[in-house]
Amino acid sequence: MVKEGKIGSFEAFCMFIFFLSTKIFFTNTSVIIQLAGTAAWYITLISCTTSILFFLLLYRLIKKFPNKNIVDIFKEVFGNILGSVITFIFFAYALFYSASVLREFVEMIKAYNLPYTPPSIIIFLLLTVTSIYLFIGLEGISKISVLAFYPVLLGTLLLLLLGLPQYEPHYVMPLLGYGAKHSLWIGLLRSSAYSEIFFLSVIIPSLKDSKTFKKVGISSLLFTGLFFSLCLILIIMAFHYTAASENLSNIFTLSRSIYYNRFLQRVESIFLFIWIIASVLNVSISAYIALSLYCKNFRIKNHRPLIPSFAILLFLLTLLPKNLSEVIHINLMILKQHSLFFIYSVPVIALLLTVLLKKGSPPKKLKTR
Amino acid sequence: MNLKNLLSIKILILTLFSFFLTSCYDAVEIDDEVYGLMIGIDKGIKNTLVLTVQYPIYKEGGSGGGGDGGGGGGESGGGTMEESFQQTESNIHAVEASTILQGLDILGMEISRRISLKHAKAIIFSEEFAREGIANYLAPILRYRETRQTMRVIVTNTKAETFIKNYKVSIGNSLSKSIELMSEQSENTGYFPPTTFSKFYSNIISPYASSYAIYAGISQGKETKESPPKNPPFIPEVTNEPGEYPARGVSQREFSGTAVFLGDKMVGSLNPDETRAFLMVIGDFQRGFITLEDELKENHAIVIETRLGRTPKIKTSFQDGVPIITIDLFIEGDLSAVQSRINYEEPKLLGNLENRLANHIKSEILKTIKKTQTEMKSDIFGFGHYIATHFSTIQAFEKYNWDNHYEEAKIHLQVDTNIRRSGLQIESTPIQHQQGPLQQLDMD
Repeated sequence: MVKEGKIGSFEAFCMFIFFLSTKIFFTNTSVIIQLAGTAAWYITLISCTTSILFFLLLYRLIKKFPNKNIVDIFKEVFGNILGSVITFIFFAYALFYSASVLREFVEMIKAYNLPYTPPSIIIFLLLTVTSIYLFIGLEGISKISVLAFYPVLLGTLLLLLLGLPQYEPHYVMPLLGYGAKHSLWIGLLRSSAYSEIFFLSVIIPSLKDSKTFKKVGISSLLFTGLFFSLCLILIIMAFHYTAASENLSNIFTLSRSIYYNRFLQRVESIFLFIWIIASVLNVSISAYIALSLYCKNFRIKNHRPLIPSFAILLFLLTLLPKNLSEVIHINLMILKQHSLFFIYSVPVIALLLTVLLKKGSPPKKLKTR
Repeated sequence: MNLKNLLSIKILILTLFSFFLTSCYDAVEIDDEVYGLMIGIDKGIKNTLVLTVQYPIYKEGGSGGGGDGGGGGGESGGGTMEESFQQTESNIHAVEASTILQGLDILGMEISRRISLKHAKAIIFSEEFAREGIANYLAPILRYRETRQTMRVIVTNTKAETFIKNYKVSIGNSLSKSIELMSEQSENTGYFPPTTFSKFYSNIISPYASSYAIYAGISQGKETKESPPKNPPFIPEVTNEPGEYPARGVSQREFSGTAVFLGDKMVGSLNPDETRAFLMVIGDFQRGFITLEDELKENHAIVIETRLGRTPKIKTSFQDGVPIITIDLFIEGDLSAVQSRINYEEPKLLGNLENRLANHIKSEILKTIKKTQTEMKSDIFGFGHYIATHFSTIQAFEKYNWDNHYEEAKIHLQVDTNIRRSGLQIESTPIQHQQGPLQQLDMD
């Protein structure tokens, strides 16, 4: 692997905000509102809290192996063969994630903006940009994330603000949605919507230390949780949960619904930029993580020669689902609902084994005089 | 690879990019399409529906599609008032089809350009059609990428096709501007609701509220040779059905009241005065003149420009299983005309007038709510959303079935008014009659 270089905590934060939050622009909000009704806006906070708890467990594991990334840790805990197999599964997951997000984005852009353009053309163009990002590496991606962070955040907040006349606060009732028990279960299940945070452990050598890892992880999870919650409550207040669960992209539909007068309307074209920047970054980050996992697993020093073949693989995987229905009901269900059991359980098992088998570095003792 | 080669490759890639980025499969020249501004839907004879589409035509000097440019238009000189107006040049096509989108394709067999709905401003259903249920025809509009949820929904008591044919533009050249500004007239009068397709649709599928649309018609008013009576009747109320108001003018369309739905079926309508009462409760009333008869002088009017002083407060509770809805309204007003020239600016008289205004608004609102409860059984006010606060889950609310209980809800209404200003005068001096004593003459 080409030296990944060092990235600052804010750069890592911005990068993971794009990795975690971009799904808010896609079908994610409709699915969660469909599942949880009026409770969707705080269910996501339950998911976020669960993810933070998981992340703290991951942090404990990371702390036991200073200066090691998750691939090395898996190999040390599970042994070389099993560790490699597990890493390969994570690589496949990251690749699948990247392809699914790309396909979801393509389907949505076709639905809203480019209905007659062949998907392969859109995928090709996006993958070209992604390949350039992969070439410039982690440092480059993180710097672009910082550059894009403020425009995307301000643009999205402006969009939510422009939707103000459409918000009806009493639409959030009944407060418990489909019931407290159901809401709690969905909240726990949907915590895989934040599972991308696991991949922060792949690039840990690029962070300053494990404390930075903790700081970046928790702050990006908290930020994403609050951002999701804000978006969801405003979407419910704008469309009511009945109609909001039907929309392909609630945020995009909201941008199309903004109408102040003859002069201030049709603002979705501006929003399109935000949408594309965030989506391309998301695909690039996930693709980079997949590539990084692959290289670290097979001890490949330079990742750049792999980029063309990797892009072709991603292109094919993106074309794999037959239609949008398959993307939503198979790909995204696996990623955002069922991946929880795998992504969260493996590091927890690794931590348990570390504690039981007394692997890793012993905790530092306080010096006493 | 030396630097020169690397640079050449970069230039080559950038050149190749220009092929992809200069245009795409979806590029459309503006002139390659026509933009349907009004979509009308009537019940069909040979097929399910009659689709009527009105679109502006590209003609030098005429109005541009969706734009404000152009001039001229088809002006006809002289003649009666109805004839002497400048009318936007547009085409109207109607076709019978099984669905709206099929209708558009069928129209493509006779129109040289593709009909685009990207700029559609309003969808019009005939009342006959709306009373039978329109759910089947809403879904394609919602799903279709070209239509926008900001479209207005109109129900006309004539055929939609007739309404569109008679929708005449008399000011400026732009049909799209005319439709948009006509819809915004709701803010100035409160005589019809400012509903959008988004709101209309979400209420149709919601168990918490019912839907409503603009109720419209074609004005039948014609000049009459009948001489007016010596004392024509004084009618401050505006209660006519669309098209029935004795109005004459170049624009024959009339947006007048609210079409009330239960589910996807129209079940009744509110007249313009009732519509104002409705808009006051839901907080969508912007401004409007309320005309009251002067208690101190018969057949004389007092006109007050009213507006909402603050967002209405709606609270709900249950008493012995009966839903209680408490509405607290604050209406502000400006005294705009006092025909009798009585000094209503005096605090005591002003206080009395405020009470009268409050009682008038109160009785209008109670009458309107009662009408929706008993005649239509349709909660267009969205009280269900407030009732939902007493239910912890969606299932519990759905089981309660608000539509069945709306009729039995008791309404407690509090209306406070404050007449803030008295226009450009602080008092009225009686008019000095030529023959001696002061007399108060009728004038507005």
